Amino acid sequence: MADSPKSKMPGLQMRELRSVERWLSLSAGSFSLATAICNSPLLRRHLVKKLCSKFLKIQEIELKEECSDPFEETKALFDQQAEAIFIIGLEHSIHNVRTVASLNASRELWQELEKPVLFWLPEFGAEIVINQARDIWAWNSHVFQFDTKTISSELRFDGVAGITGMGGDDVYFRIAELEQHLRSIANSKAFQLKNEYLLRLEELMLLYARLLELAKVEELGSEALHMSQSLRLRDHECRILLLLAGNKRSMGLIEDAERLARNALAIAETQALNTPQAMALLAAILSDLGKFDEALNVVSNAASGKGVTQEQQMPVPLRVAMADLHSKSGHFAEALDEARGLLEVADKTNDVGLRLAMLNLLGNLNIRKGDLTQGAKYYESLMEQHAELGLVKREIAYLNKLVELYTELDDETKLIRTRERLDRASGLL
Amino acid sequence: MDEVRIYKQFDPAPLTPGDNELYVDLDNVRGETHIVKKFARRIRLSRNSNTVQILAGHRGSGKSTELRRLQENLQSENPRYFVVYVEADEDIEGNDVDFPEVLIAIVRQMADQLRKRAKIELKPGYFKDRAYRLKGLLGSEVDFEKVDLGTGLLKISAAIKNSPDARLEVRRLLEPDTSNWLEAANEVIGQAVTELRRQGFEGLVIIVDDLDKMILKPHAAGCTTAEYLFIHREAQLRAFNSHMVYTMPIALAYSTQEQNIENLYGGRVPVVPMVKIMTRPPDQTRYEDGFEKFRDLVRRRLSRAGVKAEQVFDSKDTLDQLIELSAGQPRELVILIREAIVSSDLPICKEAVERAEREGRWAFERQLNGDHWPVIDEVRLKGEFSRTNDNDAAIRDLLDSRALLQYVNADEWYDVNPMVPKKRP
Repeated sequence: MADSPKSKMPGLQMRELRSVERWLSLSAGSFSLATAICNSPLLRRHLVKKLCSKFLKIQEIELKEECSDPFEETKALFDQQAEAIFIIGLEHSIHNVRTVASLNASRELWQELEKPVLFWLPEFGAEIVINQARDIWAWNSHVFQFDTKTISSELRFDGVAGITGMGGDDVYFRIAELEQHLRSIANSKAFQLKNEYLLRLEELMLLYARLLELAKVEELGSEALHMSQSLRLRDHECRILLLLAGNKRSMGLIEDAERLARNALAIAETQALNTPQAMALLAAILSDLGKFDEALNVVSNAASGKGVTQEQQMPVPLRVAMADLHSKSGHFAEALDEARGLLEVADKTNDVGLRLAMLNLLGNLNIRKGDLTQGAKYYESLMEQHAELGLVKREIAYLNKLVELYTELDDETKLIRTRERLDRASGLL
Repeated sequence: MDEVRIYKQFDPAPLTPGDNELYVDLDNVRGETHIVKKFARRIRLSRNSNTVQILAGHRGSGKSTELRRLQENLQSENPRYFVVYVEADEDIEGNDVDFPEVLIAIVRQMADQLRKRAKIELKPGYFKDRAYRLKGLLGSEVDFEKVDLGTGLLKISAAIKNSPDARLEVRRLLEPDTSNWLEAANEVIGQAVTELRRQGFEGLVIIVDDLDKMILKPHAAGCTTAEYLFIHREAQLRAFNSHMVYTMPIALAYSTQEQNIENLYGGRVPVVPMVKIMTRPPDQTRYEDGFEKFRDLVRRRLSRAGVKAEQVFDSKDTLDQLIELSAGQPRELVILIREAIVSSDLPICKEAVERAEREGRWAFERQLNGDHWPVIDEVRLKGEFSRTNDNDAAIRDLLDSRALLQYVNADEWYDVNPMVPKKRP
């Protein structure tokens, strides 16, 4: 498993992000006009928040739909203390002839603000400015392209490998890339493209799951399931059911998760599909439900189906399920052994996702054993790693767990520090 | 190296008289157009009769810089003129321009500049009598007893700029009365000239910049808004008792109306052309004099930041590639360098040039359509185009978007912007 999908997009976009940061630093305190083009509202929000948290004095001004004079509206809301201005929402009014004309005529006026000004626009909005407000466009010192049709068309899609180890920026970049790609092939009647569409929907589900956007995963899953069933693409249907089962599990809807996982397994068996993942997920769900014997049977059957008799020789997903089963059924020593073994595998194969999963399991195990201090150490490490990856919701989830642990441990210093950090992280959402 | 200082030298705003050390005289690589000298000479030679001169040029060709230098020339060399520099887009809605708004913008900015720079307070004169007609429109009458002329007109100008209804109303009220408004304007111009002569000025010159930025849209009279202003309203634009200089959209100056405009304004409209850096198509070899002027432009800005080109560019070739991409547009070169500074750490390298080219190509891909390509192909082949009624709109649009650029060296010729994609999509 690779570290991240082999797409050029994160590389290209990361460079653009660095350029925006460099522009903000170089033009601080003086006027400079730039446009950032980004079709994905999700990516745009992420980038704006990220830059605003890094450069503390950026003022974000959202123009209203009825805005007819972008400069006057910005000036009215402008905060003298701001060091840079981000203008968002111009796309809602730019189709208005008056808005585009006043924008075009305002090029000199923006200088009065004496700050760097960055317009965030989707591609269609930028196209209107390019064609109908050429004077202001000609004054644009910089264009940063984060997500456009041109960029997407130059990219390769190499599959879902590595998503579990992806950082926040890469996840957002990849989502933007995939959504652009999906829009471009949505209406195609070619079977191959329908197949491609489903594959990318699955990838998108995984990416949103990474961001803990569980409702979005449900929405995408429902579309994908319907499509795979109507096209009778059983392998897709099986994988989508598994993704939905995993999502239900994350939502705490374990019975729903079990039903979906069993459906997936039934399809996998009748279609002779490779089943370890389905079996592993079903086993984990059964463990959640306390059905340990059945969970063990599921794993054993899967292993014997592969001709494997020893735990260490099992496919990784089954080993993860075994470790989870050992942990939940109170066999801590076996669970620890398995988790440590898998941690070694993760390090050897540079599998960030597996590593994070095992650290989480080790944290759980220690807490179950009653060693809350050790458990908290694992959670702290996980929290830091997710923060570094820019996965805010996951960082928050670990911070909440740490608040519970420090409360129980009566560690006031750490509790205060963790709560402060929780407030800061929540502000990023 | 102080990167912030370097970055700030590449500000695309037109040069002001305080930026003399940055100014590079481009006349000999622009085909010896000598805009400033010619315009100033015509004003000085005309003495007692007023002149009307028009200037066109692409965005970023240096029109405003040349006009600011014209202002400086007229104000500093003998005989001296007082120059009012009207930035029309302060008062005018570029999407919808007609003569009444131009008149009010001129008088308002003139009153303002005379008060600030020459300590001359113009009396409202006939404006006092005319403004009451706008009472209904403004909500209350402008009381010229209490406010100066500039402030009083600002109220009218703001209403005109901000509301299409107000514009229509002003036009409705002013239209049958235009000659009286012109008389009112000329009365205050007369006051100004008398006062200015007392201060030792030969006369008054009004430069109206930014009219070239008008959006070319259909007018009810069956032509474009720019044609309506410069052709149908020509008599009124000429009626001010002062030397006048107006900027005009290049797409109008070089349209099927070209002959008509020549007849009305007494000759071919001068253009601030692009700097010749390549020879005329199809040869397209480097023109070293043009390159050297642009290298000088860059060196002067870098020198103000205390650095040399060798420190900022990884090779001479990288700077030359940026010059080539600029296609001889001074502002475009400044923007390209700014863009390259931002895209990665210094020194600027080839990747930064490639990125800039990609951005430019992306923007042109979004502006070109099937009607444009035959003209582009023809210009690539011959350095000129054949104008017909069928392709007139496409040519105007290509000039307006700077996909086609005009050069004047020995003869007048055109080239395709190097950032336009090489092939049709």
